[in-house]
Amino acid sequence: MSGGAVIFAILAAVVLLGAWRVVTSEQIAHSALFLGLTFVGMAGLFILLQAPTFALLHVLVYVGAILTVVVFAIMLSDPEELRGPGELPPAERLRRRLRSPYYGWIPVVVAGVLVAVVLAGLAAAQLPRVPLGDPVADDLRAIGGEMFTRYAVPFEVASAALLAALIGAIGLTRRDAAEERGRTRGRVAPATPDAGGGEASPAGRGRPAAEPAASGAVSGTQGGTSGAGAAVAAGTAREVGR
Amino acid sequence: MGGVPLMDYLVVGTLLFGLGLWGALTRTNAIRILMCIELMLNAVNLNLVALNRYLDPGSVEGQIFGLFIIAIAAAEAAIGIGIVLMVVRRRGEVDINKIRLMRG
Repeated sequence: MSGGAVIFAILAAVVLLGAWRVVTSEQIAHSALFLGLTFVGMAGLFILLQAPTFALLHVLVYVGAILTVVVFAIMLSDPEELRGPGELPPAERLRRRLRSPYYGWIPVVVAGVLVAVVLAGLAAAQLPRVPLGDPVADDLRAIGGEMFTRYAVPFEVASAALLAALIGAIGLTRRDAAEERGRTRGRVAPATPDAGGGEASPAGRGRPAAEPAASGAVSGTQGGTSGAGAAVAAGTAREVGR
Repeated sequence: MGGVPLMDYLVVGTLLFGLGLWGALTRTNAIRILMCIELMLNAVNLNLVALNRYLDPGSVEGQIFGLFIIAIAAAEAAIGIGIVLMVVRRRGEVDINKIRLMRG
């Protein structure tokens, strides 16, 4: 076994074990860390394939950007997921890891059949054991040159897609921020019903169904002007909003 | 390069894709499903770069396709996680089976 084969075996083991743990870790934060391990192992494989520029960009984008965003998403999402299911018997835990809670063993069978078919096809294929020539000497220059000449149009399309994704992500979270503002206004509004009616219309942009109901409920309780009734109305409006 | 056949890379890529597919089908946490999709995209990138290196070493076509996949993966992650965070804020839920707003 040559040095390259040993390094390949180690990197392949790192990648596959990391991917396995991404799927089966009980705590999703561990999943994210194992995903980082998998990405670094993949970069090692790319270096072994003599594509150092690709490895660099892979680490830069996947570990530097995507993994960071995933970790942020985990931090901002449900904290119950961070705890995991707790104590279970080992057999039950393994079973729960393998199968889907809703469709049982079907996903395992689907993925297994896919892998088996592809592996059977690979076994039948005539593949070279060694590369058919030497690699490109300066791969950064080669990639850059091709990217801005022959693949200029796809490059622009990709940049447009990234820009659209950027704007979309900002738009998704911004609209949510406006809703949060509307929600707090809706909560404050019942104390002063006249101001509440005025406030509800800008907030209504965010949640068209819920906020007019809230303003109607507020005007309905105007005669009573009981703080509790207004609070209940705001509560039901929030329920409708969900 | 030390005598690693092309087959080995393709087998690793297949297994990685299989793991990602299995995870994407069995997990119910939306963020974990996004992670599994990244695993599958990684497997495709490994295949592209390996085939590029072994079958057409004088060019960088496979790597360029891989770079486009990385760009699209970044866009997908940004949008996907933006949607997940929006759903989490509105409903406090990351379990995709409990989000049935668009279910018929």
